[in-house]
Amino acid sequence: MLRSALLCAAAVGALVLAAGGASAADKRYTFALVPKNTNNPFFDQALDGCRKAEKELGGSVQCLYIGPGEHGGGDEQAQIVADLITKRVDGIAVSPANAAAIANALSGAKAANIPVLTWDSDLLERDKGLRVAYVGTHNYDIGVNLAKLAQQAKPQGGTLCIQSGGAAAANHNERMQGIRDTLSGKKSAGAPGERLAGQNGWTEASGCPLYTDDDFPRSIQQMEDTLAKLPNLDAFVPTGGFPEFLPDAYRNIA
Amino acid sequence: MSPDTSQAAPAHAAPAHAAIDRAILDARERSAFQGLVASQAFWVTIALAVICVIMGMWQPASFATFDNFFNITRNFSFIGIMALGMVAVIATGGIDLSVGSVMGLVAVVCGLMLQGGSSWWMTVLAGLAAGGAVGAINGVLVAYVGLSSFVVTLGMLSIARSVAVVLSGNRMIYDFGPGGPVFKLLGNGRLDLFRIGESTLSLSFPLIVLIVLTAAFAAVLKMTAWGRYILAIGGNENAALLTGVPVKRVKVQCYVVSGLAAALAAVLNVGWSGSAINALGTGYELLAISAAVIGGANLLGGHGSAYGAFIGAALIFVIRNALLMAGVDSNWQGTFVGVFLVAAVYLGKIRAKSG
Repeated sequence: MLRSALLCAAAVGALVLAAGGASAADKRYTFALVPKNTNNPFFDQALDGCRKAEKELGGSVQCLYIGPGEHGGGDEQAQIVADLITKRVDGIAVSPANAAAIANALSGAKAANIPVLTWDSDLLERDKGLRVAYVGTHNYDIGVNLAKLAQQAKPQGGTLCIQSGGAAAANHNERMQGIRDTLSGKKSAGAPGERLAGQNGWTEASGCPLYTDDDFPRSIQQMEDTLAKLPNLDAFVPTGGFPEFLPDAYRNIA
Repeated sequence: MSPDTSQAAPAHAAPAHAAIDRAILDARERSAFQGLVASQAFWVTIALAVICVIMGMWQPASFATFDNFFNITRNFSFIGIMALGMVAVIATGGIDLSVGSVMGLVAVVCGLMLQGGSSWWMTVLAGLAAGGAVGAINGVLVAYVGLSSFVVTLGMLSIARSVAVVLSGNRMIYDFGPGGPVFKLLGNGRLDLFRIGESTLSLSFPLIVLIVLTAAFAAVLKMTAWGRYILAIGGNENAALLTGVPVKRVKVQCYVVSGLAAALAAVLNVGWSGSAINALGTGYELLAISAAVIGGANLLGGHGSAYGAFIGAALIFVIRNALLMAGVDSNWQGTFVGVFLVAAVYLGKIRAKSG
């Protein structure tokens, strides 16, 4: 029993030590940077930028980078944001994995007077009052430009397959809408637009769009399988960087 | 024991019986005290209390607040409810790897029902029915067809998720129709207990559900034949069968309970988050199993408690929250949870040897 008590003590001690190293927050501002998931190298670049800003501001700002390990359904991210609001951080910048769920959590930030930015991906139209600003790309325009490239390559149209991130991620849905609207030549009511079934000669292959949930090995498999199944596919259009993050595997297919 | 022997030897048996009675009473007295000290859930509770005290002294302004209590307890309720169902399955010596995917499936079923204009209670019933049906399929394949629970539920993990994706057309559903407000309240509601200054201590509805279910399941395990059957099956399936336990039927029921628990967790989670997505619950089967095992459930069967599932889930989420509040790199969370998991089981092993 003594040994087990020691074991407990050691575990708790480790927790305290690990935490102690990181808790020198005097009167610094703490800003939370919340990615959709922490296992995606795309978001690491945002972390690098945050660390750079930390340095440039001479330690007056602390960058707290925290998010769920996996993309999942976005509920874990919403829980983390709720925790950050309770922690009373000085600001939150979040890339919502599940736009509806995160809005629910962010309503608490408004009550606590914590300013919120969205980055990379925005809230749903109805919830945009919950954030100060959105920092990111014009997602719809990305889709438009992707569609233009497809049109250049295949002026007659053809069969295409769109590969996206998470089904609940607003940024990828807006890009998909941009692609679909441009190829069909008709503006749709809302993201992710209307599935292409022959408009302007463009048809989406059955089984598409593909959702990677930011899982790169999965994205490679999806691409491989789709190209194997449809040797005559005219266009494979990812709405973000997925297979490219595994360069060797990607080169073998593309 | 046959009636002959009990009638034949009253004179010799009387002192022996008294001795046995005394031994039994002694054992009971000891087990009341030892049972507490020797139970894994007890030590996990101590560890949890130690963490909370340290965090409370160190981060009083953020950790030790009513708001944070509300958040943590709501967050672990979903996993805690799943872990209760998992304990039922694990106690029989089985495992249910499908619960995370069942959550995804139930989320989509609920989302589609609400979107189609169903009332909140129809939606809840449909969600529970879907989870119960998946559990029944698992149970029949394990108990009657005789396949291994690992294989059956691993297959179901894949099947339920895939059906969820197909049903949802891979879209997020958040336009909930007329049933939406009440349905959302199920996951989002709170019961205010009392108020000190600016802050109010409240219990979330999911926590209340978890507490009620934990108490109910604890009573069932301790006081009903069914509860004894579960532990008997896990302890020694053949012996249970020979003593007349309806092993196959009880096993099926355990998987149904697990499916229902996962479905209920999904209903509450969808209500809380306000959106239904087929990716809900990805990987949660491992959290539910971890919670059950940290709380003392033995993967070989025969052991497991309702309170253990509750406290195991609480520990996992308090660790996560404590790291966040302390400003520790969140990537360490898995390491801490893993260390506690292995340490808790190691503790259980020492206990088994000494006892």
